[in-house]
Amino acid sequence: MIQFNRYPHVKDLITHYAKDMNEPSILLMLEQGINNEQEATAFAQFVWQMVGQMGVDSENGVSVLGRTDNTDTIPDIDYEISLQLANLGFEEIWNKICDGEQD
Amino acid sequence: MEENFAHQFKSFDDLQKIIEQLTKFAARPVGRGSHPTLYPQTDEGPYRTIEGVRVIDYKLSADEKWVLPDDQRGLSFSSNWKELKRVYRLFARSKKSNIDVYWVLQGADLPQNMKFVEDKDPKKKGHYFLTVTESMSIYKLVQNLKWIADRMAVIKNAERAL
Repeated sequence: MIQFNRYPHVKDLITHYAKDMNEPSILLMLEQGINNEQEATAFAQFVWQMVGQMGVDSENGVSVLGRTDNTDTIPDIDYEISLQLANLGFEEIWNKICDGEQD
Repeated sequence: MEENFAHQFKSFDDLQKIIEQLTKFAARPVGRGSHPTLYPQTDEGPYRTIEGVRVIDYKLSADEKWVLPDDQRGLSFSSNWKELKRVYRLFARSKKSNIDVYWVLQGADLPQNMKFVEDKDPKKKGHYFLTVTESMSIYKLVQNLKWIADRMAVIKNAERAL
């Protein structure tokens, strides 16, 4: 199971958006963990897409987890995702996606 | 003259390293118009705030009137370029129209009983918490965070640096 110890609300956001964006494989990774580089890449790409959707929801006034703008949690998201992937040896995957190399 | 200055460094990466060594900055990227050290009021949930302080960021007393010392709890800052660049690009991804990077020198005067402490996680080098070193009322912490915000510098076109 993937756990985010410092900012646990990051998991709430990922769970919400994995359901909203119909990504059951991400929900499965949250439950069972990330097992290889391919899954790490898929997970990181999903979070990148999720952040885009957070912006869209904010623009449209859509309430998510009780707030209409969750973009102030972006540093929390980066903290947890970079740590999670670094602990698995996949930190560069997140760096490259945020650099726009693997959108 | 600018050209001569630039030639003293092999690359901008070198220049960046020198600046980092000289200054030991701590920075926070935020959406334009957001306060650099306080959050919008949120009444419920994990993002809940008291006077702009997120309860998740600091260790609070049971009655939530006091902030207790903890060297790994505090407002998040970064002096790590890779981390700052990622956060900046994530903000841009969310289509926040403009992103400002507020920064302060770590050696600058801070209010009494506040201190920057590096994250102890070995994978988080360059990530810092603005901690409290002695118990203080939450209202005092808010005053302190406003005081620090007033003294932070801001980069408004950070995409050139990041």
